[in-house]
Amino acid sequence: MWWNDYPDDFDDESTSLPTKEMLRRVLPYIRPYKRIFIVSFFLALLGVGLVLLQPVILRHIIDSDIPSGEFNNLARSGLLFLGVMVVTSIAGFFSSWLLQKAGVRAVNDIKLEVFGHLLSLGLPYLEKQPVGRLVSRIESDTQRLISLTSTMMQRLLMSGGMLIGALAVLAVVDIRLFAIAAAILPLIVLGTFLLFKYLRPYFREERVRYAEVSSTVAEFIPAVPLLQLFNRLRWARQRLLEQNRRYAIFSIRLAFREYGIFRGLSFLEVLVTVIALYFGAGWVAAGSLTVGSLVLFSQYIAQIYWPIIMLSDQLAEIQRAGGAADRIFAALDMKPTVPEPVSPRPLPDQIDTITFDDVTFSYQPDKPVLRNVSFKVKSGDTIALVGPTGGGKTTITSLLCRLRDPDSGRILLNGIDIREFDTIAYRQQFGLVLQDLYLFPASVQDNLSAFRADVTGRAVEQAAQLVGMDAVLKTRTDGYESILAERGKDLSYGQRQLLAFARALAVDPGVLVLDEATSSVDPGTERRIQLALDALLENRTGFIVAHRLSTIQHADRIMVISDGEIVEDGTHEQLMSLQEQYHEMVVTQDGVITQTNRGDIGVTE
Amino acid sequence: MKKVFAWFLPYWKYRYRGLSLVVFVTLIGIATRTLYPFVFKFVIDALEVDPDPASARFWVLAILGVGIVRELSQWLLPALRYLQNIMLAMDIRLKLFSRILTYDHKFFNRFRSGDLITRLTDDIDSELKLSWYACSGVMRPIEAGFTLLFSVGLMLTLNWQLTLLAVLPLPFIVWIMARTENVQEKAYSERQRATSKTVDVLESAFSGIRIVIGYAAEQAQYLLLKKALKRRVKAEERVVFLRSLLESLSNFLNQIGLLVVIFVGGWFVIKDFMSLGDFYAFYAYLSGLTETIWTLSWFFVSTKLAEASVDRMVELEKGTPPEQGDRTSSSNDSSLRLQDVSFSFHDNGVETVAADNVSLNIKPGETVALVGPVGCGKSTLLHLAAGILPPDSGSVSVGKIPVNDFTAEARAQLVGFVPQEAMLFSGSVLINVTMEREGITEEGAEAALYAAVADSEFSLDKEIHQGGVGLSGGQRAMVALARALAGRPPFLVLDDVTASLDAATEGVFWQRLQIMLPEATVLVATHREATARISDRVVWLDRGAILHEGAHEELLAEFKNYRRLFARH
Repeated sequence: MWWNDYPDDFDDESTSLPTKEMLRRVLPYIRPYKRIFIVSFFLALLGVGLVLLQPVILRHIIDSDIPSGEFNNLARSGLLFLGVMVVTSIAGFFSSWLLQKAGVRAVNDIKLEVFGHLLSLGLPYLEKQPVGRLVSRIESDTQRLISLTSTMMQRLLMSGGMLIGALAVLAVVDIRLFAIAAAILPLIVLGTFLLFKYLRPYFREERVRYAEVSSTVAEFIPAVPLLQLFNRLRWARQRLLEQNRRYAIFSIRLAFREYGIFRGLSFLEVLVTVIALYFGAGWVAAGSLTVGSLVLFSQYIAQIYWPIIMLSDQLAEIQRAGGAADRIFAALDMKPTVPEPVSPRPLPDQIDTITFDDVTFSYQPDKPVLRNVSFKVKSGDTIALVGPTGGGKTTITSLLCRLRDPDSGRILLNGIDIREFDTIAYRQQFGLVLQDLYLFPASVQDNLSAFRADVTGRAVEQAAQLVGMDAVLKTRTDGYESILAERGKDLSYGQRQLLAFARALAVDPGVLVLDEATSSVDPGTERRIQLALDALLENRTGFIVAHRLSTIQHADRIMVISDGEIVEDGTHEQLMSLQEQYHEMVVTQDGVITQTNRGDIGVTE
Repeated sequence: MKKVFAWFLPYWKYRYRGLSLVVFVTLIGIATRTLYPFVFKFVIDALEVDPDPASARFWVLAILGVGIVRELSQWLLPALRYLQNIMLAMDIRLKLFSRILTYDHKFFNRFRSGDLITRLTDDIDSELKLSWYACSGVMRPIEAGFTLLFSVGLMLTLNWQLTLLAVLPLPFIVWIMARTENVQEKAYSERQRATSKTVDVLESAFSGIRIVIGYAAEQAQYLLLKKALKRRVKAEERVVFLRSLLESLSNFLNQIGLLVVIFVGGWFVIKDFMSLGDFYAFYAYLSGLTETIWTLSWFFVSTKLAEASVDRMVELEKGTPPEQGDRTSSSNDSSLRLQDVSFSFHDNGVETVAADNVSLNIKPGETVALVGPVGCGKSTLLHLAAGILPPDSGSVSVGKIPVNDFTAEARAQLVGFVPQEAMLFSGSVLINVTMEREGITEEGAEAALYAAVADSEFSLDKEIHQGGVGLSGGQRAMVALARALAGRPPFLVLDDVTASLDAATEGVFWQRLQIMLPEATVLVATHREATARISDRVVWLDRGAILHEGAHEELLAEFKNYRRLFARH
């Protein structure tokens, strides 16, 4: 799938887990289905035994039943053959069905666990990962891992059983035929091993090239209108053609090599048969070998070598499963970036104060975004954060909601470090409107309640009314149950922003955090929201990050954040009278570039 | 089946040479494969009763010869089939991609991007999908059919009575297996749907991860996945059950022929009606037919599965291209004229009027700002003006020529468009800005980036990763702006691009634009007062219609609601 081939998924050579360690870690997922696996393996071995029995029966028919001239002898062997057929089919069915069924369930378990664990890793980790890579971790990696451990184990077992069983029967029947079969065995094993080693890097390269094809498609499809307008259709087509050709040529070359080596190995099988028949002809003439034994040998040859050769075909898959195991266990070993307290404190019934105490934070080492920020906010206040882009406003809000933890310093709620509360319970105190307006391809109700069961339909409807989206939503065929398009594509940008806003209101939060919540809303709508907000903020604490300064003039407190520090702090009037950064920002924005000559930029008011 | 073949036919015609080669090698492969037990028979006959090692050894060497050709053809055959699979996949993908490139907005309203991408990749390349079906899926049953024919033919020369008895159950088996086609197809399709559903849950959870975590909705997402997986497990288990059952069943049924050979053939040998070598040849042929029958019966299922994919492809062939004319050049006149333009969106039977009889004239070199509340139709009007959307009625002309009369090339040179959300491609900044358009030099790209106020660390050779991961909204907007400016178009359409620029940067942008393209006509949608202020004229839109137009200061002075639009009282 286009999402499951991330180029990064292919550098699996560096961190390969030892096979033993990998099996040790996979085992817990298999354990609940232990019995099914054991039964299935047993049945598989039984099937191998029965398959090996068929040529023995045939040999008996050729060597003794037919020469005896008695139809009854032949019929007895024939009935035995029928019995073997019936039991083989039944054993084969149960063995394959049970094994795959257990595999499906084990994959299901591991998928859920990986998903749950990934979610617990926290925003700092997750937002850096491309979505496709996370999906492929859960979708394809788990599948490969389980297919390795269940199917491969069974195949290995069957191949081994087949090989040992067939050689053992041959040794009993005729030691010379056994010697011929065994002599060439090391050659086949060696060839298979070399095939694996030689082709391994090519398989990875093939997948990288395919990933390039699919990501080119993924890039161009959403951009079609743009490509049309810029008249670059041929260019886009050419780029895809080139990528596809690069992949196709490589992949085809690889196929010719792969099948070539593969067939080279199976030619050994022909060679062994020819050698055995050549010498066997003499032995039969000399009376030291029966024709039936020679037939048995030619039937067994395929059964000895074919499983080994087939295994080499599976090696690429084993290789991928190894990489998959590395990635899954690496993810499962990762510690949450925002750790849970060991014994969480209960949240206070009401929020009295929120304090930033000497908080420093950086996204990259040595490039602090916040430097020793300290402030204290009392409940019910509305705080506006303003300042230039990249100053650290958004970082303050995400630290506040504990989407990430500070490098040093503390954030306190009623004097208690927020890291001591249960993270989920703590976050539920907040209603967020972020710059990221993401809407789920789910119902309006699910979107506005953020999928939370504790948010009622009534609360959702009220929130939508407050932002003036109620009427728009009700015109939809299924109203609040109608499904939104991917990323809310069926709504205008501004409407999406209003819905994001309604979402924050619907969860009835103790603290409202608005990060550039109204940048694409026209000021008229914004004012309507403002009125709703004023009512809402009456008994709540609010943090508002805004570019448009006119919207926050009535905040209880305005903090100017610049270069990771609070440079000004006070009411609108206080800061205006300071005549410094805030004042300058207000003037620039209200102001004022002359309209007659747009080249002449300056403050004219 | 007819539908599937009809759809593939043009692709097969295009690759007929390669496919003929595949057929040729298939025939050689079948010949050598079916010859193998036949030669073996002579070895046994030479050794039975009155052993003649010299004659036996002659036939053993013949086995070696046949074996060599067999292995050679078995090497080439799957490789050649694979080659055709890959080439046909490329043909299909490129043909459909090329078509999709030409479709108008109606097509893109019908399909999600993710869905289109899945169809152009997964539906074609996944295991047992179109790519596989195109050659392997068709050639393997052909091979199986011919193997069956050749084998039966050779068996007939050995002993026609036994042949008829032994192959008697075969048509019956094929019939039974073919009957299961519907059950199998249903199970596979349900699994496909259940899989898409889980992928949808995962994709949306991770795409909206800030919301999920910010709203502490992890548990809710976990439960959503659990529910989707429950359905998936059920579907997978059904597939697994069916497949195991049918495989075992068909294996068993196929061996009934073997029983016939043992009982009847053995009896024939006892009665000297047939040689021991013949007996072995029959045994070998019938063991070999197991896979053949499986391949043949699987063909019905795979065709049914291919049909589902073909249906999904056919849907992609139903789009209409936007209107286009053949005017290759314009006069130097970059005036814009909208005459009684109307446009509505249709969604689930609900009609939303986005432009309602709009008439507007913009003089060459003029800068006009579109303002108005959310959803008033600003974006739509821009798309109409740029010729991306065709008006339902009325006309849009640039330089007195209807915008849809131009060729795509001429229009691209005339109009520079910057969408609200920037589209970036993986590759260098240079590639993103120039898109390798003719006549845009590196210097031109550099100048465009400068005008778009790109920061100094944003050099032309900087690599942009897929989807522009790691770039800020402002940086993305700058690349999109530079892309439009690099063509030095006389007519610029900007959709709220200044929203992600801070006030100071915006000021610099207008200044640099004025220097780079002093003659350009600019139509810009905005919520920013600063933008309205630098414009020569403001067009105030409300519910798809022009409410008033005039200079910003005039509108401010005259209308209370206009002042409200910029939060003034």
